[in-house]
Amino acid sequence: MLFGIISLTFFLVRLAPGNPFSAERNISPAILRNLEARYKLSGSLLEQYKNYLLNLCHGDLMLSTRYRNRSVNEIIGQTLPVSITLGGCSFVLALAFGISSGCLSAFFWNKPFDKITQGITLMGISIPSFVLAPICVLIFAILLRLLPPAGWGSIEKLILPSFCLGIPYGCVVCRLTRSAMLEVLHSDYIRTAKAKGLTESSILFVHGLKAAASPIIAYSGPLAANLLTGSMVIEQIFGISGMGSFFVDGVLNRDVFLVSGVTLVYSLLLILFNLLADMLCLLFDKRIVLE
Amino acid sequence: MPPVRQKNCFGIKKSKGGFPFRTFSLFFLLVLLSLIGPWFYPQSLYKTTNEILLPPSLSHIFGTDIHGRDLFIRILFGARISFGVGFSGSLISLLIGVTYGSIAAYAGGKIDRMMMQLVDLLYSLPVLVFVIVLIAIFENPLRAFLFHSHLESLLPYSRIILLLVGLGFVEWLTMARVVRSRVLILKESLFVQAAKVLGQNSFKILLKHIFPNIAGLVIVYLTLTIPTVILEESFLSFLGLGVEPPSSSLGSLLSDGANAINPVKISWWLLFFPGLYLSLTLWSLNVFGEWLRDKLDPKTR
Repeated sequence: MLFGIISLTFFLVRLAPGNPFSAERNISPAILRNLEARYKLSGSLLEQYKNYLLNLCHGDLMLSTRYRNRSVNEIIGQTLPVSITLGGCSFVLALAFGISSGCLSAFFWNKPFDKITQGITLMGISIPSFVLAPICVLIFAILLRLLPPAGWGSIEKLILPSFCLGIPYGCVVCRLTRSAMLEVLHSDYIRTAKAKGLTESSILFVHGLKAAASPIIAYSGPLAANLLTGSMVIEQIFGISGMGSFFVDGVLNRDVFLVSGVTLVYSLLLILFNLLADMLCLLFDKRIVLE
Repeated sequence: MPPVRQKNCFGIKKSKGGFPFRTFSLFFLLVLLSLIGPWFYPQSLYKTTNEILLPPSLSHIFGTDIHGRDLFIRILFGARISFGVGFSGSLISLLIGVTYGSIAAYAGGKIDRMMMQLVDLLYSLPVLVFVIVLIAIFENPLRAFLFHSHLESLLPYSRIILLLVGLGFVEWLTMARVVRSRVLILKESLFVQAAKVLGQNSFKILLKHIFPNIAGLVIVYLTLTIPTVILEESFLSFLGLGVEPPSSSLGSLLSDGANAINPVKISWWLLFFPGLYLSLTLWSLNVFGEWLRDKLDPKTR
């Protein structure tokens, strides 16, 4: 599958007419040849493809054509930790917010708390992160001067971006948790647990959540994918030099190897993540049996 | 703790039956405003003037932007493009999703499993990344094509065309899944079996017997796809990968607004009003779509 993705991106990006250097005005053919040789873009398409795959096997993602003298490995090596920290924080935030509020709102079903939460989460789903983020910057950074408006490197600088990235998805998780919980809370064994005299909180969080966990875990795969794409915008707004912003830049400047490299890393991350989610699903829900 | 004996509650918001009239009329109003609003608004307001960055007032109810254009009219034009992309992108996704889902279900067996595995796979990929790559790649070829086939009038819209096709091509997954599960049931029903016995060919069975029966379901999911496509279009435009100036969509207006936020001069209206318009649209469509789903899709009832 990974191989398919690699080939697909490579050919798509390479098949596009015009090469990365044609944007620069009037390069003499000799220079063009040298450039192509340097970036290993000479020869027929198949040769290039073979070359690229060979290099890939050695873990070499080639040179970036946009950022002179920097290899794609180097760029990804520098930006990946940033993106992972941001994505991870938002992920944890989305899950923590979503699961806790979802459980509580299922617990207080049809009470004011539930209705308010439902209203807020519906609003949260409808306000995309790229609307939420500038508004948060305006309020918390510029008007109240509580948090830094942009940048990277300290804990305070992490709060706003991960909040803005995580909360819209937290709302989705909340609604998901609530509906899964409600379904579970109607089942017989919950009634048994109640009859046994267990406390409500232990019913809710131990018995209920365990059974309601599988849809949440199943959603976490797409959630991670959404966070990845969402981080492009957040990185742009907060001026964070993560992988997303480099990706957008690479696409705009037709940087073949940067785009394929980043796409590759994205896909790799997501495949790993889905694998993990599937395994967790198995762990939580014993009813799923591997064939 | 919900009462245990309550039977009619199956998770997703319990529909109290009533048509969400206020929400629907809000959406209707927003669409109507963007469609016919510009006609009633003096055209002169769309031109660039010296009155830059004026806060909202009586003559410019949403204020003016950095080039002195009236923000209200820009939002209306932007919403027009956003709605257009949303509707047509969803229609494309409908076409693909329904065809794909019904073929998978109708063929059954190995083909079905393979086709659905592809859907599962695409579900967990960052599809927008592929849309971005697609847009970057096919922009110039499309321009060349339009130029050679004497459709020059469409040239300014080449990005938008790509955008809606690209988004349509990635948003069909849910539709395919839902349609498949419904067709699987319908396939076994008596009237389809009867048609099969009478020697009707598969294509005609799909067209005449199955499609009319999934129409309601398809409309529900179409309503739920539109806000997603609008959101993604705005997302891409925000990044500068979607609609290009001088035309604008809600996303590019928001991006202008986000750039206008700085400690020196806060032009909050540039950010607030497009954001409000977009959020209200998404909100009303989501509420309406969920209501329709509760109403028409028996699975969630």
